[in-house]
Amino acid sequence: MNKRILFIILLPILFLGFSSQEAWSQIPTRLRVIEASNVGRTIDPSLKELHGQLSSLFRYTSYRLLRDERLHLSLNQTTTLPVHSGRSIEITPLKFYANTAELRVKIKREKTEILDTQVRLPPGRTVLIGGPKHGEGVVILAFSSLF
Amino acid sequence: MRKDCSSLSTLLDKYFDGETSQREQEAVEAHLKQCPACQERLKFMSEIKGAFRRPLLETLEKETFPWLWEKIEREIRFKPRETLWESIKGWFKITPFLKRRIWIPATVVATLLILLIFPTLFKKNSSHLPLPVVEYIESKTNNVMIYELDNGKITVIWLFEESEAESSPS
Repeated sequence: MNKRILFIILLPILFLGFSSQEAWSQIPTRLRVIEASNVGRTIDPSLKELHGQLSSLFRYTSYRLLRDERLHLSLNQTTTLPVHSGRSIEITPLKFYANTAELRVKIKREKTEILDTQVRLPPGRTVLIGGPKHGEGVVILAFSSLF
Repeated sequence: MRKDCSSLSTLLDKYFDGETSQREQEAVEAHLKQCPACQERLKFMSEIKGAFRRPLLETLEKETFPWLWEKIEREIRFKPRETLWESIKGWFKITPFLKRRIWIPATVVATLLILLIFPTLFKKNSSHLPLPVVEYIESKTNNVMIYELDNGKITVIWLFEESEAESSPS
């Protein structure tokens, strides 16, 4: 068969295969662990992009980035990350469809599950999980999609 | 036969076979009018042709050519069957539009356009029916609040830890 014709047939198939987001084996996600408190008035420069939204949501005067992780989550595989003093976060991507990731997020204190939630993460969306105490402030976990 | 008869000999053969041009035909016919020898030759050629043709046609009518059919059948029977790959190749040889080179980039461009437009349409539809960001939430130990910013870009899940209520979102 003419190589050119073979190329024409294979090109759309390959394109479809690669562009099909359902077929993504890894879901690029960003997790930022932020400490928010009323001690001082420091805004971490790396939080510039989020600061406007954080300040419109919360009364805290100081925001400090504790951790910034770019995760490549695999479907149905749990990733566990220690967050801060005895707390950990478990993230399990359950589905990826229509350019949206569906994540199961669990926050544990020691061995006690303090939060169990399932969130949808479309492109450009950030989900903040806040509240757990940290020092004189609280911890805010910011999940953002990187797809 | 006259001298100009010999020069016209080739033309006469062509005339007999009906292969002369208009000019040659006129020349031959003009010569034939005044040349009994050539007329005689033409008549003889016609007779010869008839003598061959009649028996040949009679024989052909009677003959069924069994040997010919046998040969054709043998060819059909022993011809190797086309494989799937060969038949696909054949299809591309037959399909005339693929022979034209202009269709190759056109087909690729059309395919890419369809692939690019389709997700856009799909996105449009999905934006009409936004799904909730938080599908499920549970905390056995704490109170939980869900809050969404007006711009729809940020969703907040707030966990009230013990005497934490005073530091909750504004």
